Amino acid sequence: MDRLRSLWFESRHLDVGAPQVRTELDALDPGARDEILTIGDRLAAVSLTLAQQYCRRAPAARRLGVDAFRRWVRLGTALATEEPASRDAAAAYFAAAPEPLAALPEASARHWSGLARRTLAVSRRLGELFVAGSAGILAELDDRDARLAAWVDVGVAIAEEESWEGELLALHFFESTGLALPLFGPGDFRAWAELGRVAGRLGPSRPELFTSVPSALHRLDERTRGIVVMTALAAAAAPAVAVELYFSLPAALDVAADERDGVIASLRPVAAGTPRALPELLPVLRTILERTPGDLRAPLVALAARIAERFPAGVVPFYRVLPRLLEQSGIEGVERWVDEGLRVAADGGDAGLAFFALDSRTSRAVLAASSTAVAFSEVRGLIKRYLHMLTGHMLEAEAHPEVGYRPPFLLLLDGAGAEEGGGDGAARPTALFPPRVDVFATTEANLRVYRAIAAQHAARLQFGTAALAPPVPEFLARFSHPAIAEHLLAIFEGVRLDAAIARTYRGLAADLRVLAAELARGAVQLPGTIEQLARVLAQGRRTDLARRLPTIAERLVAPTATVGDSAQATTLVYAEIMRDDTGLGLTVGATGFPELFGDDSLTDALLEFEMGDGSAIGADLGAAAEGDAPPPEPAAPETLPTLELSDEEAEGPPGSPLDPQALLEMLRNARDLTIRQGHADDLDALGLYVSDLAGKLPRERMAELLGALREARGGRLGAHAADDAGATAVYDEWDYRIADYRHAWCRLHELPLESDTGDFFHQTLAEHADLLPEVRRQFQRIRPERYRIVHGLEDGEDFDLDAVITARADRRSGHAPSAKLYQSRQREERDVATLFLVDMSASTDEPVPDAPAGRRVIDITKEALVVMTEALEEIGDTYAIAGFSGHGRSQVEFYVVKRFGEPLTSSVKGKIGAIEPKRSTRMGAALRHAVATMRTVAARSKHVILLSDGFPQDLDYGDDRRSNVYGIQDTAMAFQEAARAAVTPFCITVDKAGHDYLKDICDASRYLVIDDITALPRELPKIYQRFVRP
Amino acid sequence: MRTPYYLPIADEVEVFTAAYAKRLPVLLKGPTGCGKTRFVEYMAATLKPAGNGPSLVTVACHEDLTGSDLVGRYLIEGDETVWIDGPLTQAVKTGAICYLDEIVEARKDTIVLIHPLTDHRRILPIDKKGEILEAHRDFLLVISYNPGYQSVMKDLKQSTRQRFVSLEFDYPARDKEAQIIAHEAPIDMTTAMELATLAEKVRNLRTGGLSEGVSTRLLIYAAQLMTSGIAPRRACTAAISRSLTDDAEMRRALDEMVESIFP
Repeated sequence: MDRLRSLWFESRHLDVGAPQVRTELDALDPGARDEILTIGDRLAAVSLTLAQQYCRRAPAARRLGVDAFRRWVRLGTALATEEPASRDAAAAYFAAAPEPLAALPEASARHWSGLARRTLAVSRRLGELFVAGSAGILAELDDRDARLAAWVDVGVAIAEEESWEGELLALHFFESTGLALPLFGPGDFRAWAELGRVAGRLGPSRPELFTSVPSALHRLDERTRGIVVMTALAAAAAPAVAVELYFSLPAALDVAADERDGVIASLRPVAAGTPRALPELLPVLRTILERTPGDLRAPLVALAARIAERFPAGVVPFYRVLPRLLEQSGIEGVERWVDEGLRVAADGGDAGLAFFALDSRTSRAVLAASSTAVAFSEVRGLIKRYLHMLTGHMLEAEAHPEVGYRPPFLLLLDGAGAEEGGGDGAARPTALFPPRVDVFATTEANLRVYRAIAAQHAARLQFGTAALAPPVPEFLARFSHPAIAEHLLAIFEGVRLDAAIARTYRGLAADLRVLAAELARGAVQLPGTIEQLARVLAQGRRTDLARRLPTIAERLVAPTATVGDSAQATTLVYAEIMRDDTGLGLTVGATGFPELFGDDSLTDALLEFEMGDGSAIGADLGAAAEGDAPPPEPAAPETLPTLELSDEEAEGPPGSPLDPQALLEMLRNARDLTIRQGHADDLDALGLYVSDLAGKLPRERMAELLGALREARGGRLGAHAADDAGATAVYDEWDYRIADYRHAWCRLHELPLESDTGDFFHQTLAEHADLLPEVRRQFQRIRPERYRIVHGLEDGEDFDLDAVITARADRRSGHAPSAKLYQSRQREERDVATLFLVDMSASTDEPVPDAPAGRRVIDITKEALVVMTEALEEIGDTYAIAGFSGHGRSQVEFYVVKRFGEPLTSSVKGKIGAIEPKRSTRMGAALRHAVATMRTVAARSKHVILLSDGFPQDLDYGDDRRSNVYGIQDTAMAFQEAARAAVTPFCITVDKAGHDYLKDICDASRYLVIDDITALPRELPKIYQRFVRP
Repeated sequence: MRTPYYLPIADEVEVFTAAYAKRLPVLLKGPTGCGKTRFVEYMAATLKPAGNGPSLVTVACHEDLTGSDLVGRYLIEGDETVWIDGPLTQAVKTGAICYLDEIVEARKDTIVLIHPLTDHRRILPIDKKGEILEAHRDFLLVISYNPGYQSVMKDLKQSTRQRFVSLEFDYPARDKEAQIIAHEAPIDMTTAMELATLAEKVRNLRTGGLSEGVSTRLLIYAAQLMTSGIAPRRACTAAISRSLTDDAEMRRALDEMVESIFP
């Protein structure tokens, strides 16, 4: 016995696990200590480590009382010694803290022990896992006995499946006992195991489902946890999705606590029907739900559930575009949009998908129709012209998210006042606008806001903002917080300019009056106004300062006010704000801008105010505002909204004193013109996003803005791209499956071609020396056709014999003869423009079998172009040449060889030689761009001649790369669009199979298949003569 | 003949008077509706008080205007053919000022016809009658053309344009235009000034997509509509933006400007 005890008790292994154990034992009374060690000896007979494990916990167990101790020992010993005995299970048992075990009612303890034994009977390993997992958590389990029993039932059932899979699954299942047993309800254990089985299909090395749980799961109730498992299980067809669903769904449900059922209802059919769509949604679902305004979440989730019911595939795209939907429309609008989408989806799944992803034109149109917001992209052209009219300068107009009602002074920095930035590539001055305006209930009123901003831009040019000395950027740079100064200057200068605008344009005066009335009613909060400044100041507990604003504004609306006054007001208010006890100190004083105070354009009141100790005036004003007497009315009340601070505002919310960063945030955030009325009442509620603008020089910021703009400009829709290389245009594409256009689907880049030396051109001329005179003769013969005989004239070169005979007969028969007896030749003006569009796809690299010296299709096409140019120069028709290729919808390439009006220079000749096979053939986008470039060409008759070698094809030109139906349908639609734009397209192909698909693209008279490719140089001029009619 | 209203913009009256004294043919250049025709009417009335026959013969040229339309032609009347003088022949005979408006619109042969009338010969050959008509002492040829909108094809040939004293017209300055509008409509000076401001702004777009600026004539129309009780905005959209362009977006831009100026 002593020897045995020395083996287990004296072993240093004991102390490793519990260094305190000897001290604890010594603290017990000798009887208890003996009992512990005696039992230890007994256990040591089974296993030394078991005895040690026991001994580490024993003092704690003994302290619970002798009965509890003995029961604790009995349960453990039974596990170790009674069949099916398991030392490891017993060790696991003794490793768990004894307190909860001891607290178990006797019956429960026995029940648990029985379950452990039952599991051990199935498999020792499973039993050990069960004991290890459950022993420590027994006390905290609700409905303990039933739960444990259900757990073991499920686990044992799996283990008894007698398959390799079942064995492994049972192992994982019992491994997760500690994790899952307290988490799920007994009714969900089976599903949990099944989910495990599904996860197992991903490979045996993916047990994460059993070893960790999404932390958000703990925050859900037991019922919802079960639902999560059931939902994940619904996606069993795609195991990876099921696992991902299990791990990411709880977080989303946690965010949308009140809409859990809706979210589940919307996702369950998707998981069951099209689980593979879910990975696009799951990583962002939580964020999307989180960003959705709380009051809208429930109806929106309900909408998602409605979509799930009728068109599950639409749910994922719907959630994904949700933020954009809300940006553009209110909940009613989204509801209408969903209704329409479900109707579309009923006709075709692809169409529905494109609709809910906001890809189709119909989808966007429906959404736009339900919104009264005005997006800058919709009115850009309008605003540009309006600015042009007001200023007399051709200005660029761009949207920028940083811009609000009072735009930054960018225009001045760019020097728009000076000279017009001509079309020679120099960047034009740019006026900045907010990307959307959604403050009023009608589109018309929102558009008026854009008009007012444009007028503000123009007024800065017209009414001398640039006259400020020092210039605006320099002025702003002198402040320690230039961004704040810029806001203040924009506000004060805005007041002055509004007054000037109102004096000059009666119509705009009326607009501003309406706006002012709305502001005064408090119905709308417009950032950049003096009201907003007052509100901000009031929030910063500076009502004293806020009350003085009307007086300042009154000075600024006077007809004699200048930009200097605005600058002065800026300086004063800025200094006053900074004077506040924020510890920032006064950074700008009266001496900071001596040049501003050179004249006495502002009244004494302001000057004293500026002195800081002119408290007499300040007090007066303050007293006036506090008393009954209102501050003096501004000189032009219709232009300047009266400033009324409600009591509530005057007291100020429990805000902090104005620190510059907070002030800037408030000024900036209130810039957001897209806040819908319903959400605009509370300034605090606007999600404040902090930026690092404070303290930066405005010049840097302008540089940033300009940089961002340049990038943004690349992505502009439409194609006025024709005049500079490297331009980008975006085109819609027709998708026959959804019977709609996919919005802004293709991005086309206009790329330059590196000119070769012109060798190819001249070599071709030499090679076709025999052909050229013939072609020239043909084209010269076209010339006489330029005359047309006009019959029935009263005067002319010759008698119109038919008319003469008729007249003679009339006279004989006693009728009054017609006097129109002459005919004349009338010159027919040839007024045609033709664009040759060359397919530069990789397939044109193929050598042509019958051609000499390994000529490729592209070479022969180029030769034909060379011959053609010679002929066209002869006849003097306007023409252009371009090639196209590309790789995917975002990279359609359009190579300009010769523009309309560009002479056939050596560089153009070189570029013809440089046409080389590139990649794919996205014909639709290329054709659309060709037509767009021809829009500005003034010719009576316009043509596009497409030279191709095969059907339209690109890597994502339709879902199925093997099918060319999508490409053909899109190209056919592009042909129709061309015809609508009064451009006549004609397709020449050297693909012998061309008949098969060209008849689907266009009318038989609009294409030609050339069997013998080598004949192209000879044929092209003939085709041209036949096809191109003036 | 009552002398029509004309407000001189620069020295055009003096130059024209001097040219008339020496019987030098005059070319008037300028955009549509800037007052070219009114100027000729005014000059004809001032220089040549009513005598025998009209003092001014105006021909609006068009694409199908032939030489015989100007010179005259034989017409069949019953059993005989009768020669009828064209407007140019009439003017040459009676010594009127012949004003060929928008001359480049006419067919090329008509332009050749006027050449011998515009140099020292001052003759009009009438081929069909085999006659050569010598111009009356008081006869003067005035032509006009609008360099703006005619296509390059229809530009005036150097051989033609170098036979004329040229007077260039443009829209009047804002205050003068306001005076003209106020007089012609007639309308109060404030509204006239606003119309002139509108015109000035709209004409800014001549470099931005609008082929022609708004003419003084249209401004007067708008003013006249206003005096007949049409609301200012409606009068301007009807007389100005709808008349100027068919392009929807351009029209909207013009309407925005109208709304900015008229409440």
